[in-house]
Amino acid sequence: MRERVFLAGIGGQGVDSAGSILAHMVLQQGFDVCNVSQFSPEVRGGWVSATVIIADGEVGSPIVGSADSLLLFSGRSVAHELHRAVPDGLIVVNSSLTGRVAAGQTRVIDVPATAIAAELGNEQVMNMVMLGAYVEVRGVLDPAGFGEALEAVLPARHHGHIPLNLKAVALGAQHVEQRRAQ
Amino acid sequence: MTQRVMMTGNNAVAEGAIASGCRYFCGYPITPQNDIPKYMAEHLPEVGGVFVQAESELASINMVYGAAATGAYVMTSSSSPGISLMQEGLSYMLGSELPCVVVNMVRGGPGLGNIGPAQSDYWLATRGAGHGDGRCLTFAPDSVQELHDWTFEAFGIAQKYRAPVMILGDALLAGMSEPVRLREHREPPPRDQEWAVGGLREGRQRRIVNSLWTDVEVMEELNQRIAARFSQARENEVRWEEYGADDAEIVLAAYGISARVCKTAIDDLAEDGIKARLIRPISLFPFPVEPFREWSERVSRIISVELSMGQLIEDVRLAVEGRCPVDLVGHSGGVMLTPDEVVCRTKELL
Repeated sequence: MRERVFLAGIGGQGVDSAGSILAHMVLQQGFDVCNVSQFSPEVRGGWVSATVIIADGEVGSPIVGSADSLLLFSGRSVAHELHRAVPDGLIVVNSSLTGRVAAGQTRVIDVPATAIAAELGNEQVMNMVMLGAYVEVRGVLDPAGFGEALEAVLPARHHGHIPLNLKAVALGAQHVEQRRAQ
Repeated sequence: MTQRVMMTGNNAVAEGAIASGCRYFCGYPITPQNDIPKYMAEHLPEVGGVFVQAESELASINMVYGAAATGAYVMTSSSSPGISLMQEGLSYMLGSELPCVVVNMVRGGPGLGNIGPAQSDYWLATRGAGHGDGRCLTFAPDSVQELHDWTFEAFGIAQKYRAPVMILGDALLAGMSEPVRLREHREPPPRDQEWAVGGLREGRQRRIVNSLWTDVEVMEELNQRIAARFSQARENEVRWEEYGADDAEIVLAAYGISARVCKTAIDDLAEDGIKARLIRPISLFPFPVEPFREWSERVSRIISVELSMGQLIEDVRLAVEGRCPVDLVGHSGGVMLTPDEVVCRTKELL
């Protein structure tokens, strides 16, 4: 098994944190993993991406041209990164910012992640709504690992925010479930 | 067996150095290696070590020279333009027969370049150590675990050959995170080398650490000693990894991050029925001549896959001695290769 996950968005959206949290979960759940975070020099507003490779053997190339799963956080990331999707792949888009995305044979999951995070009172947890939706729909990882991963990645001074982040994960997953029910 | 932890390449280097007994770090900031001095600044004082942010790369390498002369485990790290500035100091250390560890997280060049991943300092590393008749023993890890392990080992190798050892990474390896099984910390070894200075004790002969020898014959003797140590390194320190088909029709030559790309490319080529093999030099100097010599008689061609306009390829050609064609697939200036591209180019060249 080799699942190539590509997360993209703009600086400040939590792409890098989401990549780190996902990578920690992958390691905790017994897979091999590599996480490459790349960003442009701007402090805010530049492009950011994280490539997380989940493997049950050797990871191989940390850089990938195409990805099995794309998590697109912003409109610009849709414009620039949609080409990476493989035909039978998965795209999770933050539809609050991107609108509807059509991508041929690829399975697209619209998640109004910014709106869901805003309802929770903090748009910053949008990244966790996206991760929650991805983990739920892909089914490779056990969502029970989120708490431990957040503890490992977030500095201790932010551990008070972990319950809010877990709520965001749950709402992301719930959105996917509701979509399935429809 | 200790648990594996997620770590960036930069942090794994720094932790490997501290675990090995390194207690002195002198450096000057430059992207993409800044997390090495950051980690050292944070953690060296916890083990009684000394971190100095010097006023320049020149100052850094000369501080390293000073600490090395006392027999200490000492290191610096930088990225391409900074390593250029350190060349004089490296030459003086080689001339003074002093060990140290230097980490180069290579970025796009020449000039100030950019902060993208590159392998365009292959020549600088394997032919470098400034002017004079020597170079750096150079090792090129291809994972965060190997960055940790090779930095740990580098201090002992530097002491054994009384010469600078270079760990060659790149911007991508520096910043990416992978699981690492950390080495146990060991105490810094006693500074009981017969050449180390540290105050003239009673009954002890005066020791001189110097690279200025006006007597040409004395200077030649020094060069013969250095050459003899490099010959010994060729006997003992050559390392490489092979990956892929045992009955390959084509060989890819790649080190560091490019080798990681090639491993996936080789798996993808196998799915298309093409048998390829990777030869990954881990020691770049001394270079693993043997596997290239052997495979050059069995395959139609060798492709050197590197993030430069063709530097590794020269050592491959020297090893192959014309027995088969050697081609280049490369990018430069911070542009990264993908497995898909290596697959396409390999098919074109086959």
